[in-house]
Amino acid sequence: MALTDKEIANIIFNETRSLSGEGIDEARKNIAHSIINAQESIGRRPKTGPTIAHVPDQESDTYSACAEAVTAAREERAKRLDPTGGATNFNFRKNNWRGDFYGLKLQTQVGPLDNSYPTTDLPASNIYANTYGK
Amino acid sequence: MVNKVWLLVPGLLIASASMADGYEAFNSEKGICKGKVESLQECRWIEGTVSIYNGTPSIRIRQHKSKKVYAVGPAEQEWMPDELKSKLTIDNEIQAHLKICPISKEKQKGLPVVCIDESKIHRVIENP
Repeated sequence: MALTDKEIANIIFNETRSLSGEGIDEARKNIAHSIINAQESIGRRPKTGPTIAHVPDQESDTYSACAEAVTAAREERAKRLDPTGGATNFNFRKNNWRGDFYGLKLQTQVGPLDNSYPTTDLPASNIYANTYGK
Repeated sequence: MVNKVWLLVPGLLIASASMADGYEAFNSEKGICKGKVESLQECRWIEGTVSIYNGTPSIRIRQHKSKKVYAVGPAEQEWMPDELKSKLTIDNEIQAHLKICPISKEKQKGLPVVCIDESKIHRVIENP
């Protein structure tokens, strides 16, 4: 079953809620394109985090930005525009390495971004949001 | 002869414990997580499906029984058996018996991150 725009926004929120900085809107829009592309190319939900989001009041603006990213991606697609060149996957890296992702080629890279929820894999700064395709 | 039997008993007990679906009571000598995780005492066997997800960390395990999801760390240098890693592609998923070990004993933010110490592959499913 196809993901709704709300579910896509929820995925983007779950994945990017801690990220900020110049380019974050573009990064979210690119991720929206990659999710839509994946769904269209494989005909099922791509493997992502949860499609349900729990949005605290203090993060409502961030959630709105994720929903707007999906809307913006839909508007671009209506004009046959896809800045990701058909990307079907996305990830986040702690550097600007432009190498392949399990055989997929880098299509877009946005960063550096800050991360308010640092982990070993994704520290507090210098995060890059990438999309990939065949 | 009696002495030899007594030597065998602890070995048999350890062997049976190693395959139980639950926490292990001893350290693995040949697993790949040794020296990488905080405590091998936390390792346990689960049935799960390994696949490559969008987002980071990318390699994740969905435990069959609980549906709980684990991330395999560290991102892009995942500690897991070569046999498993070499079979995993963007287009498949692998059902396996997995011995997972939390990398940190402390509860982390987000998905629990584990090392895969050993694996016994049941099935590779293409384009699931």
